[in-house]
Amino acid sequence: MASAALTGASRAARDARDERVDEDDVQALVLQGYGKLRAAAFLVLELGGTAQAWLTSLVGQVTAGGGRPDGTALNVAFTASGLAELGLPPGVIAGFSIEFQEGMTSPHRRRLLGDEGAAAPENWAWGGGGAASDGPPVDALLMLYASDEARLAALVAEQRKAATAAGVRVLITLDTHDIGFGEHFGFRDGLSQPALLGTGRPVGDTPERDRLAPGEFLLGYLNEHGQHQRTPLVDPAADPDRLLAEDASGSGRRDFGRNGSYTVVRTLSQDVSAFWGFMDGATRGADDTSDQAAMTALAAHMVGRWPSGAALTLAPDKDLPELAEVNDFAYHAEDGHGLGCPIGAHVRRANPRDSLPPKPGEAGSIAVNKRHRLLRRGRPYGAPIDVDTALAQAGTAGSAVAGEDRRGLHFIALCADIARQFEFITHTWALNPHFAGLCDDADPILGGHQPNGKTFTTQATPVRHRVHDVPPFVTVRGGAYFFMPGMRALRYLATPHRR
Amino acid sequence: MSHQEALTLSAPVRPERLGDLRALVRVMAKDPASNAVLPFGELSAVHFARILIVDGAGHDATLPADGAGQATLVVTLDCDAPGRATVRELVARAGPGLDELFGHCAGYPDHPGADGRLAFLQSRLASSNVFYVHAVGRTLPQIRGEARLRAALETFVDGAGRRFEHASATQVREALQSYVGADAGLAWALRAPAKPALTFRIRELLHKIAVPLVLVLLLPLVVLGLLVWVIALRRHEHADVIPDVELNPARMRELGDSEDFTVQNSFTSLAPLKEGRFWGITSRASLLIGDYTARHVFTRGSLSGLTTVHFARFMTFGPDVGNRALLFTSYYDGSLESYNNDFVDQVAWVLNTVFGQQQGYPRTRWLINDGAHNERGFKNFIRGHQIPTDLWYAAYPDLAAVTLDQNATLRAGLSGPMTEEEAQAWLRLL
Repeated sequence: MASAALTGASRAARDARDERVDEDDVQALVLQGYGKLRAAAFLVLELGGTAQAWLTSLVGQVTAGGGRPDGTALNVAFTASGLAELGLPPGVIAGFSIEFQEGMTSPHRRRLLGDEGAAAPENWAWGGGGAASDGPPVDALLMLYASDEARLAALVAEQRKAATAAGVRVLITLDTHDIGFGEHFGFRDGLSQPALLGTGRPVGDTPERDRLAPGEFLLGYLNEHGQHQRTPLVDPAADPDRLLAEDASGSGRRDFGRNGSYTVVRTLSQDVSAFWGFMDGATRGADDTSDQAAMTALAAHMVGRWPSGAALTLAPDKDLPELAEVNDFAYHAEDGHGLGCPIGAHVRRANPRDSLPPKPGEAGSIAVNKRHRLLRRGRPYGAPIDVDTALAQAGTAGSAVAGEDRRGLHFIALCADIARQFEFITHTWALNPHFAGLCDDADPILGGHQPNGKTFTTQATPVRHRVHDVPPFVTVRGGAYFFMPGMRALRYLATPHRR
Repeated sequence: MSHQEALTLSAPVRPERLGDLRALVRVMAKDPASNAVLPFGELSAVHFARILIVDGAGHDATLPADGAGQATLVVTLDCDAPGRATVRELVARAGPGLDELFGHCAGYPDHPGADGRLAFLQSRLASSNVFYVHAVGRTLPQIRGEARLRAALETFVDGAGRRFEHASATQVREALQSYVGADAGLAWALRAPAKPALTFRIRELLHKIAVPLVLVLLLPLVVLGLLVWVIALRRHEHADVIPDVELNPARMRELGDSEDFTVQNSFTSLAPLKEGRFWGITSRASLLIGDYTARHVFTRGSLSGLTTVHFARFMTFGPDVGNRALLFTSYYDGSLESYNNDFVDQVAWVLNTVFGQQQGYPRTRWLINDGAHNERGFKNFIRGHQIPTDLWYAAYPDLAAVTLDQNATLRAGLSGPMTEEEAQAWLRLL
């Protein structure tokens, strides 16, 4: 009977494969990460009653399509309150997913995402003032990219000025810091990205398991279930100029969601001193001296990759930088018991590849895995710190002061179903102390603010090793669920006569 | 040792007492294990318990009203056999509490003694049509004991430091065996757990054989009946109008806000059957098949490959006229999103056969195709018919069902011969 499911899934995938993405209608960030635009800043906005004028002049500046912009790029996304502020009627907003309408900070969603204790939204620098408190609502995110800091500074100044002039308030500017292709703990990041099918970009040597139907990231297309995602629809009478596309599922209404993508943003503060301080303390020899190699190895086992990016499944014993970009591997056959990359390692949880039910190592498990992927577009912030300096600060007042936020990652993920993709990965895989047969292990990198799961297990022969009481290394300091509309939807939003 | 039983106490609420009853259960729900009314944690054989106040009109306007819109108080207990001992324990431990709770119900005696309470409870016992147990025969004391055993073994291995570094798996296992054998509090783990009572096993075996036997004897009739049924099924699958289930964000938020506090969650849904005799008959047949498979097929830690459900049951609910509603309750690990994804990704056809007769279920094809493969339609169906669980209690809230299985395997592996490879596999449970 399982074959019935597989037949359905492969048929769905085949149908989805035939679709072409209307790239010119897609904001460019969905199609590319702007790797050459090394400088970036994100303005968190509260819209006012005159925001439509601001949006009208902004639309022409938004970067769309698959072409590589040179110099600068600009993208924009809105929360549910922002769309309401721009006049999108409640009946249309009701077509967005429940979790988007509810926001990231409801009691339920903060439990799903592990935002408790010091990571609770009350302590956030932005986005925490949702329905629960009196803080200003986050309405929009203006994402600015430039080839260098000088151009970025000019772009930010120009956009701040335009926003302020239109009565749009900048709640906070999220700066970024170019630290190359890594993150602040010292590991290469962003290596495993799914490839969106149906675009002009060749998927070339992307492994089959990483090629995904466009409907996994864009509304209006078939997803890996062979279905169209729930999407906000507009009555034809409310779109007399036919600015919006027809609903692809044939309702006769117009699709506001088409070519748009949910945009999950989380400001993740990284405590580099706590990270390396813990690795040091847990690996000291009998004479209480530091063991640099053992420290790095423990950290690499928690991450699932060595600092160079080499996967532990391929390089179980030591870092092999020549394997840094080798990403075509699976876990079940090569590393089924976690003797290379531990079962509970961060990257193995975030993307278990072929290793989970129903058919580990086979197509059935890969098909399920495809339904839980994200396009990651995050950018680090804060000046980097090297391991020795971080260690020197560990245990001193410089480490883990509540509210202090020196460096981290503005995590940005695009998807078409926040509940099935981002929240599922976070709750069912990353933070779940029972992930894949573990007993009390949450994600060693992300799970620090949970009440349970502070053990980290390294599978070994004849028997596993464990470290206990893994402290928080990462603390959420802000976040919201946004929607990044397609260009037609943006023009629709910016057109005043609609009201 | 014993098998598990599904106890259900169901009593109509006196309309003028409904508000008070809700208030009382809200207070109880703040501390299900040791609240002053029914301290479920003091019951020695209860794995899970829940209290529902099912208000026909309150949560789902499509439901048939029960009597004159009367609400029903439902208390379910998943316990080790014999269930009658748990009922007696309830009376012995929580007599005044029973008065307080069931005093809101019609027919509860005014000043009952222990006998009066017992008689009332026994008169309100209802049966479940389908009762699924994750691992039949694994009792509460066994589950708790095996969790302690694992904790002890893990601590022992942690304490060994590098002592095992160059040992074989067999040597490590021997060290664990002698550690357990030397500890008076753990030595029980070297013996296999007792099987359920012989009478139970004989009864189940007879049922397991008798049902197919009867079907074989009636084969011509069965084949004919199936043919007629398949034709009717296809006709209904084509013709039935399936309304879209629209989710109310405020209700979804209310339901969500009571989920995901521990690894386990509780789920309750109440959905009317599709209209017409065909679906009524199909539902009855489906419940019979569900009963058979739950009792004889899915008894060892897997619901057709799904390993996250602790207990689940179906009960028909509502008046005895026309098609009734089905009350479904379960305790599962992880979020509702992951529970639903498992259904859609792994056991869609099973869900089609058990939920496919309910209103709003996405269209099926030959019953086992489509249906739950329609991710959006299925998730909307599940969430749309979900009702709040007013109170629920779990005896081991931090243990996932897969962990229970692993703990049992860990214990079983302490005895008997093993090859080096088997010992390696066994040590991977730690």
